[in-house]
Amino acid sequence: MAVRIVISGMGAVSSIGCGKAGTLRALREGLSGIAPVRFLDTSLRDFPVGEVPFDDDSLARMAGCNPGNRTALLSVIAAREALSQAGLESIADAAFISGTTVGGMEKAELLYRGATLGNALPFDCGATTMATARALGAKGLCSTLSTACSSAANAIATAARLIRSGRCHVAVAGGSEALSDFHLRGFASLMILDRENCRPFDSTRAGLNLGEGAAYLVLESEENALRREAVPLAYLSGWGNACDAFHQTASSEDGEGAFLAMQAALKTAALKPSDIDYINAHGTGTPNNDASESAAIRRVFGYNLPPVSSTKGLTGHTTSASGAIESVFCLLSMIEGFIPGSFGFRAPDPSCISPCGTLQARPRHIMCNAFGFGGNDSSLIFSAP
Amino acid sequence: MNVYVRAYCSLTRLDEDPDFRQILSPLEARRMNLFMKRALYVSLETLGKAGPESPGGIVTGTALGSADSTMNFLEALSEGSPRPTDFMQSTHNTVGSMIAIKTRCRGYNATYAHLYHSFESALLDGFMQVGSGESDNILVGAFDEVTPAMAGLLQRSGYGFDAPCHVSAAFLLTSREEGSLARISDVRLSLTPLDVQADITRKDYVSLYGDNPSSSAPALCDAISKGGKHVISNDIEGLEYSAICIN
Repeated sequence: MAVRIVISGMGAVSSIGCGKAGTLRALREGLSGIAPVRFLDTSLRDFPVGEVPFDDDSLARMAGCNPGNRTALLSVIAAREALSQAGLESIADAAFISGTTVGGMEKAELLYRGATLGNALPFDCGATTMATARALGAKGLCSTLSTACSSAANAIATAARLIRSGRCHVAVAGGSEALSDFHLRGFASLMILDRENCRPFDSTRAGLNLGEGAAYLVLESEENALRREAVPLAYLSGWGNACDAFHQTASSEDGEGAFLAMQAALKTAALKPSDIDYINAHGTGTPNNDASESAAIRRVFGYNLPPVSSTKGLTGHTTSASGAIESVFCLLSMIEGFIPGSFGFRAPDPSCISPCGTLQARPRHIMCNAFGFGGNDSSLIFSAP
Repeated sequence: MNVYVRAYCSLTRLDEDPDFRQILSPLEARRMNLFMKRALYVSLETLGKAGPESPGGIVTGTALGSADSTMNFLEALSEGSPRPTDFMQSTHNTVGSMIAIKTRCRGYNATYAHLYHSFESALLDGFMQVGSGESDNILVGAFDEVTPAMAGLLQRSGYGFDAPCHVSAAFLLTSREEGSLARISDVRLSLTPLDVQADITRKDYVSLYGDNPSSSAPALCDAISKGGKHVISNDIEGLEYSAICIN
């Protein structure tokens, strides 16, 4: 019998809330965090973004430290919230697995604007994780997943494998990404940003809005949770990843990678498609992603679609962090018994599934999708205790 | 856990590039920079040695990815016309997905970007999945390149890289199949020093391949070619510690 993975804590920071309480209120009331650029140092002002509504100094006061860049700052705040809910005073015995792609790119940008940073200010992915790990006091296994927008989802899956293999009993896993001029203008160069609030699955959707944030889960073996009398919020029952192997930035028409990832997650969880009560879709709002994901969801679930929604109309696409932030949304949905609405959706598109639907009862099994560049498709399944 | 190495290949010389036309069409070759071509070449060579089939999964490690693409894009930000190709190629998992496209591998695909332990992280992932029976075989590799432009930037930002430019790219096909070239018995990573007796340490392979974040990957290939039992440590004092055990 495979070891069951208990989730005993979670924390999230995004444009809709610094912590679970604010996040829950925004999800319930449909309060979007997407607005014109306020804090990001960029010349590109045409696209709205989902910024965490604090400057770095305020975030450092909340974190009680400054680990060196905004991505790490967001990480520390979210990870601390998760540890505190799990009732863990120290992270020392836990593995720390984080997902990021941009890391501290805003510091690297400064180098190109003539700044001398003096001592090594961390800016790459691994250095960002290490700065966070140090601030948290991690002492065990530590690593960084970097698979673009599925990074955090993959970090959570790696943590689950580490626990199953007996390499650790507890892991803090998730991801973080702060907005940077680098990736705002990168996404702009790919011409997939919307000038309005994004509208996932809507017939008028015209692209995504970038967001930022961080989220972490405390995962542990069931045995460990029982021993220390931790209250399970939920189980991580399924995880799956597959490669679309189609194109570096576009998804295949039939959503093969996404289809395989969802199937793999169902297989790990030993569940049938009809067991899933809600899907938090990747649903970025780009014409290509939403059509491809819809095709994949239709292939897995047929005509018995569970309620589906995308929360990116509220937060924007939080890229590497999205898999963890939306995992927290799924867990809040499960615990509180509601489905976050698909903010921005108005008119159905025949090439897409129509988001939402009503919830018959408190969801028992929830699927969370996160897809990244390179056709890196991941799916997680959370199950009620 | 029985995890074996069925094939491996490494590239550590800047002056002896293979003929990339063997593996790339002219169109593909135009779109890729040298770094990506090298990594792709080594991965396909490794698979070629073990049979033509596509692997069960692909796990790569790279501390900085295609750093020249990242730097091109950063430079263009201040000049005003950044190219989407540079942005796409700056993503660390670009090579991993390129291998997947090239080998039509729709299995597990992951990339670790964790400083000097990007390779060890990737190897641990492959080791766990093959060892648990989740996958029959996984292609694991790492690649990092220090180019002149990058050496300058790293020095300016206070990183302790040494000045000469170098490349480290290596891939291994990990498999459940016995009778292979070597058996991997453990892969360990920690922020705390490990209690292991290593016969191959970082200074051994840094002297051969330079202070490259991925130089432990070709070092593992060397150890396998020597045969016998080895413990390869990759300790960065005060930062992170790791050990790969083979026999």
